[in-house]
Amino acid sequence: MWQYITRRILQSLFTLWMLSVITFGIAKVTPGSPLGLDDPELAVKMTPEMRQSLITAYDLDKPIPWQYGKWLFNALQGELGLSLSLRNEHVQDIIARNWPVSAQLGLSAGVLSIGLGIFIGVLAAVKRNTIIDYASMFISVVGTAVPNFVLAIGMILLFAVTLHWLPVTGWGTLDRAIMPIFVLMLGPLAGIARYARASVLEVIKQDYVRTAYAKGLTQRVIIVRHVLKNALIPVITISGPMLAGLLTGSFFVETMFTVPGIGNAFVSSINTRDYPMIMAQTMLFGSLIVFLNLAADILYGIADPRIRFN
Amino acid sequence: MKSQSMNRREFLRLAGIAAAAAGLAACGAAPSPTAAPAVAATTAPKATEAPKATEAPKATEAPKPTEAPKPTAAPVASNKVLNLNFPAFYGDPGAGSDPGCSGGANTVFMNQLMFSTLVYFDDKMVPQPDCAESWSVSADSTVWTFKLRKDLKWTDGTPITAKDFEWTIKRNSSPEACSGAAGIVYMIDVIKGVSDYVNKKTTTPDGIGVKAVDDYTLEFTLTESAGYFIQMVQYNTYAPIPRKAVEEFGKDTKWTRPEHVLSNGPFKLTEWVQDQQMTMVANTNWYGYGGKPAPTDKVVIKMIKNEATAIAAYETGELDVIEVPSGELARVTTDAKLKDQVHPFNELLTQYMIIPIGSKPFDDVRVRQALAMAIDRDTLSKSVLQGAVSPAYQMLVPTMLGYDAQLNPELHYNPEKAKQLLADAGFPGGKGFPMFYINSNATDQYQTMFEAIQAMFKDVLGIDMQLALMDAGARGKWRDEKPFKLHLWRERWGMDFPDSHNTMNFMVQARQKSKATNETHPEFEYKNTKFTDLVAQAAKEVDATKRHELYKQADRILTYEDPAIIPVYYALSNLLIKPRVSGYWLSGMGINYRNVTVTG
Repeated sequence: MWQYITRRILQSLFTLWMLSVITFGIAKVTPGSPLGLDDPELAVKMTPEMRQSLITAYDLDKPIPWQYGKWLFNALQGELGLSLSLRNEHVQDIIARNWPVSAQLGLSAGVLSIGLGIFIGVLAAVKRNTIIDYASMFISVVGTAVPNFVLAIGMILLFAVTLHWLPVTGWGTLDRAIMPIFVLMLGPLAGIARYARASVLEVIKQDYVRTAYAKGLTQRVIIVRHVLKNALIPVITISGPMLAGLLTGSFFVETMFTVPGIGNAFVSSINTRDYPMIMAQTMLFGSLIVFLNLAADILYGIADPRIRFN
Repeated sequence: MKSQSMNRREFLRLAGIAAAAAGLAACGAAPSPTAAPAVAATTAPKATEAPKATEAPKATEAPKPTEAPKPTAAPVASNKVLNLNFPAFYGDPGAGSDPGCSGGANTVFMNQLMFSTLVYFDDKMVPQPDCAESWSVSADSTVWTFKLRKDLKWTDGTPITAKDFEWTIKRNSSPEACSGAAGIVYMIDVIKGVSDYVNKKTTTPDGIGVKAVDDYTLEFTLTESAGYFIQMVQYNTYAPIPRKAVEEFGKDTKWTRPEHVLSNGPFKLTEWVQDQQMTMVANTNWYGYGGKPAPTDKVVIKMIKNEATAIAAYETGELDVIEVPSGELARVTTDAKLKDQVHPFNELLTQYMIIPIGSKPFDDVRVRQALAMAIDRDTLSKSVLQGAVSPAYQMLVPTMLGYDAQLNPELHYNPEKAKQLLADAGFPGGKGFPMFYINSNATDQYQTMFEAIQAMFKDVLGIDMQLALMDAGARGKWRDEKPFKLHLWRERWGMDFPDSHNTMNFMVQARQKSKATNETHPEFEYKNTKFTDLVAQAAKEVDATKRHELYKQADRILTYEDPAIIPVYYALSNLLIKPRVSGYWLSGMGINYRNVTVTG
């Protein structure tokens, strides 16, 4: 087990290193400059001395491998560089300030979608072909099919503009959090519910389940103690990357509801060729994916002891 | 200074980078894609001059520049809170809000609420005394003397004198303080000695042409005769900055944070919750209130970037003023409740295409003229862009010197003449005309607009051309690629300060000093010395009537006689303003909140 985990961690580090190389390479090769040097209007306003000092300050005149080496060296010590365009701040400070908000939003949505998704999925499977099943799957289809910007606008129109129940924007209080969490949650919830349903239906046909019924166990015990353990494997598999996606912030939900998270910064940084921000956020996202996938693998063993790590 | 212009925001960003480079904070920026609220704008479309501006959705009832300056004691209301939105604020409280450092959208927006400069513009764009009671200028217009009010105070009640202004100008010119941002934007390099100091040719600010003659007299010495100087001193780099706070908390612009900042305008900053909202309260020490209660107690500024969210927040009453998203314009102007709350105005922004005059067949004046008159700008403005813009037939914008609605009658849509000119140039019916592109940023609006222009070129001239739409970075690469791909280059110019010198000087510099970037673009090089001379002459001239004539001549050369650019449109802006808000006015500088009043 520990050997397995150690090996996986080493693999993960290699994956992350490759990710950094590729991202750095692509970012640098993409045409454009964070300094706006390509903009003729700006070019006129900038003296040649000024331009040169900026280029030097950001090492843009150095070879790309050299730039990468410097980035890696600094990053390993926790220095992610100055954001080139957004705020003249250190990238690690930006992440420290904005990411917790995205994480809070993402974690709330993640936990709710996993919990509710499993509940709905199991309920639908157990009550197969009843009105409950159809209703659950309808919710699931809607959640998958309706893009979150439609959902967000619809909710704002209904709950804020028409009913005046909820404020449109902001963050920090429960009433402000309801709409963003709901919008962010619905898609993943739908996916998880469908996986859970399909998987429970699969397991429920197994012999050992029939045996359990024969033993006279109550349905609740059978489902919770016997069926779920096996049925959850596919759910665990998709939950890892899904959670990583939620935790790194949603550009759309954040701008729509004015949530001061990191999703926004990520998109802006790509448009402005803000290399340090691009690198930091890609690595953050990558690390989360790798870590949560590893966590999912370990959880397999707990959910199903037949899975062994050798 | 104008936020609404892309280059402005771009500049801001640049300034931000500059600051970062020096490891100092500040002139940060917000590369937000949303247009910033209101900053530059021309006065309510003067029906007489601004061609078609009045045809913008309901521009007819000219946005009444509500009763200008007149801070009457407000009715006692418990709810005198003005709720604004400013989408471009981004990131760290403090970053980018140093008025001395940049012309970024956020800086301009905050500064008009927080700071008073030497003069302000009234609803007719005429400079009015603000911190300066009066001013005079030497015969050759190189020395300007301002008499300051004697009751100027910081928000903490300490007095402001001419020495504060002198220190401010020198500080803003320092290569360290703002990484030369002020110099780049040439806001103040018209002042003697600034350029040398910014570029580190001198090590002390002693040579800078600004001097506190006594406590209430401020004297500027300029590098050249500049009749336009008075138009510059309302700019935020001329707002006095609190030396005490800057010296104590200057690093990383911490001095601009609510706990340290001192300002001298109608409102003072009391709270800035990062990426969410900012609160300002009435500054009881502002001379403008004359010791009376302020007509507005508090301003709350939200930072909502999403347009749909912003308009929803307006409809729920969470916001009092928003910029109408272009996609919502049609709905808003027909909505029974909202249509009376729409206030359109012209921005000081020209959208145009640069012609590759160094390449065949564009070296032929007739070809350039034919292209310019083959564009049906009325259709473009009214139908294609749905009233979000007004047609431009010259570079200079309405209300500015040199603007004349009758300047280039030849450029109005004229398919017959266009065909004729093209035939004369050797391309009858467009036959044999080489393939070329229009290079532009890839936005929905540009795509729509250029597809229409593409169709007009085809229909009128029989010319086939293609669109090359891409992001800004890719555009730079495209332009530099060899061999030169024949293309018209889309550009827009938002004025930094409201004088035609700003635009025309850029037209000269953009073509003559492009080598400053080590990238020469011979295809776009404009060698018309007559144009250059006229612009130089106009800059020196003090008499407004003469300057008007000079700029007219220059603009006619630039856009008709020997065209280097094809003007396409002037940007319009539309604000939604709740009826509970009054006392503001709309001018070339956008909405002015100086005497804003809200009722509960």
